Amino acid sequence: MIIPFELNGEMVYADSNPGERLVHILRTRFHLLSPKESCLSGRCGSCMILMDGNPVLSCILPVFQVRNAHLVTLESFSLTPDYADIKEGFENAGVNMCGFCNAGKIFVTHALLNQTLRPTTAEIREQFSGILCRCTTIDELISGVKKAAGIRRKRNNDE
Amino acid sequence: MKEPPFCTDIEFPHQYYGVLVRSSIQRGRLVDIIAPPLPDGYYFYTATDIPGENRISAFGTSVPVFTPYEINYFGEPVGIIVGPDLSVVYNLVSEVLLETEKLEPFKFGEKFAATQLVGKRIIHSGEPELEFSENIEFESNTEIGAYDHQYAEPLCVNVHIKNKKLEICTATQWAFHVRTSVSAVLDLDSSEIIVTPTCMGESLDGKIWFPSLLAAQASLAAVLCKKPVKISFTKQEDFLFSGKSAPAHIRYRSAIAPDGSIKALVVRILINAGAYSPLIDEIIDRITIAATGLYDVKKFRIETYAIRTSCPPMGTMAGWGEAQVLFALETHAATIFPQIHLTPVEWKLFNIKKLDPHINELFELICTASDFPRKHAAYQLLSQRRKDHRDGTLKGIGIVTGYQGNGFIGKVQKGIRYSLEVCMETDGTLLINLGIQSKQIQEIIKKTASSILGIENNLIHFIGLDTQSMSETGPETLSSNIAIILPLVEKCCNAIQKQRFRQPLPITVKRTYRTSRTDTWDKQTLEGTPFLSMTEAVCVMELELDPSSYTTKIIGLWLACNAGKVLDTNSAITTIKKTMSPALCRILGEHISIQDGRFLLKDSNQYEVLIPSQMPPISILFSDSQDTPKGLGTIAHNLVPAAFSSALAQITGKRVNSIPLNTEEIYQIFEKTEDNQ
Repeated sequence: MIIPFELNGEMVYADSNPGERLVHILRTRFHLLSPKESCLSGRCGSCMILMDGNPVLSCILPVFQVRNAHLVTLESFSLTPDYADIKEGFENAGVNMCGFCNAGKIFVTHALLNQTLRPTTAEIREQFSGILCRCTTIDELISGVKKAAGIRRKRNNDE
Repeated sequence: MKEPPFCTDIEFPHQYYGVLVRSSIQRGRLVDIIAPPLPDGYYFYTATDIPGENRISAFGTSVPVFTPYEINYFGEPVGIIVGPDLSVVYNLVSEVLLETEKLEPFKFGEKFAATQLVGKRIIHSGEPELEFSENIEFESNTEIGAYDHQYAEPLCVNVHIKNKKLEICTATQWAFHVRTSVSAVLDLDSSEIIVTPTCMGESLDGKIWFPSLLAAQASLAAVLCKKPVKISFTKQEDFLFSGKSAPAHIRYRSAIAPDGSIKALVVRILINAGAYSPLIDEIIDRITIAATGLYDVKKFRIETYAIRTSCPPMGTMAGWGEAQVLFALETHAATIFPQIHLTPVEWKLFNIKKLDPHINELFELICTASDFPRKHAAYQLLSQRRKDHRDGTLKGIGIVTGYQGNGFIGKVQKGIRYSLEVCMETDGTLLINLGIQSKQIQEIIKKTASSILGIENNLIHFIGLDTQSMSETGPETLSSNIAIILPLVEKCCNAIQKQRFRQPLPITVKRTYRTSRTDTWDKQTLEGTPFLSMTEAVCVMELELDPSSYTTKIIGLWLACNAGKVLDTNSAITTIKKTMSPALCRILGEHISIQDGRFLLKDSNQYEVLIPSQMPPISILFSDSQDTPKGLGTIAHNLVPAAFSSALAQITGKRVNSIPLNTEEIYQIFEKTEDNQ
């Protein structure tokens, strides 16, 4: 079955079994390695991508569901000013990142900042409830998201 | 240093994929292997294809690369099929028939055959049995289950031939062990092998020797089929067949005088060593030493037996045995002080060895921060007044003490080489040929070098990318980076500083760590210091139990420790905080059943790991110490589970007899309490 979708700004066609996991297709056919194949059950967040602007778990998403959707992986998102805000915020807060679940951390932060630029601690905790990270702490993440929000606010004001 | 890639992300041109053919019985003999017809470009290799030694050796014990004859656990590798299409390889593996003769499996329990004993330690002082008739006797049995590492990235290795050398990419805590192992298995000079460590993430001590085994299996296939070979475990395969922490049964008997002093301690520890356990010697030593914890016990008898079973390999995981025995000790202690009418703090301070002058300070710090004495008394009173378990708030608070031993114990340490080369270039940059991935450790090393040499942090670079460019070091575990590598960095930098303005740049200095600790430790009497250093700590946990659902909520978690001179407070706090989650999982979430010698797939699918956002508020406190910096990597593993059980014991009035715990087990503990009232 041929499934058309937009991937990182380009129209692509995946000839695949419709039930195949999207993460597998992204990694093997399109060589996009930012979504990781880890739990394969939607519990860790390492396979996260943006689908029509919303974070989704590509390990539990069968490829037929992305027909005509707009997908963005971290490879493309990392070229945007939105990513730069988050990266700077995380770096300023000393968020330790081995990199494996970066896609998850970055995209849930992006989704939260799209909702509010003054996120509360409770909102951040809630937003990170699907991210399994062994190498950082929630305190660092909370601080990182708040700093990223501050940077985004400043950029918005400047613009 | 450039960020290393993840192994699962690495693909070479003309990549082949390898899948292991595994035994389908628990124990027996391999009679024949009947392989299906292999398509062109697909290969099957077994033990008979190994040109060198069919084993990986570590710490005096070994594991076969492929079993040639004896099958010792369900899932033991007997061969590998490789080929260009992974799904075809999986199909071929499923078609391999193994003809076997079954033998009675070795089981874990009090009764075991002499052939099952893989190690024992019996140490004693005085005649403890005589004390039991004259004092109050306490007894407890604790069962501690297996624990999985649950890495983000499943185990993986990718091997290819580059410039006529074998390059092995894998996430390992001990790159030089991978090189030595593959060299022995392939009968290849180690100069022909380059090991490039890939991004490790949090190792949790599960990547000390296992990557060497996987590397040997993939390297054999790569050399024979002359293609790059990648073995990448699925999450399920990783869960079912990689090493776990060794389960243990621990029995404590203590004789306590009416004034609360510990008169004698008799401990019997049984460790399930699995079919293979290359680190078992160190585990036995550490578990035996930790059996008395920080307490001053003059008369004791400690017996530790490691038993070979027909289970998959058992390793260390964070804590190296200390975590298991300190849990058993502290939960045993939690039953003592209520009966002798001392508060936990009074009892502990009364019995703790006063080796560390900061121990009183640790108790003061943590009691002030957590308000432990008041809360403990209040919850005790509430518990006594409660009519039944639905009457009032169910809250409890527990306090425990323990330590983390930094570095290996002498015997093992002597066999491991740690060396370091540091070069100051003509432009003033400092090149350290280490391959340390931890950002926190990198920062600490940079700060140290910077303060000695008076140069900016950004002039200091780590250049160790592979075994050719790295100094030879032992495994990155037991806080070796702080306990061994950091002093080596100091030595190198001091040497450069001495030569710096007398000799022209570049100046290169090499230093090697030598153990000199054999005289400081008496293993029979437990006198002296067995480790390079000990990080003493006190931990408090406040807990609330929902009487309807029997779920627990951690209200607060405090940990005070003597970390020596803290070089970077934020890094130190992060190091402890990030290990709190796996430490809590040891007691709360991570259930592994062993049925007929195998781990169950359902446990893999249901394995609960706490995520950062589920973590309770945590406070980390440091004593005002100027000692040499000490390790912090496993202190949470060693104390947090015991703090949880102590707090739960105050709520339920019963000690916790086994971990991990789930809601059903907490309910059972509670119901027993109700029945007894």
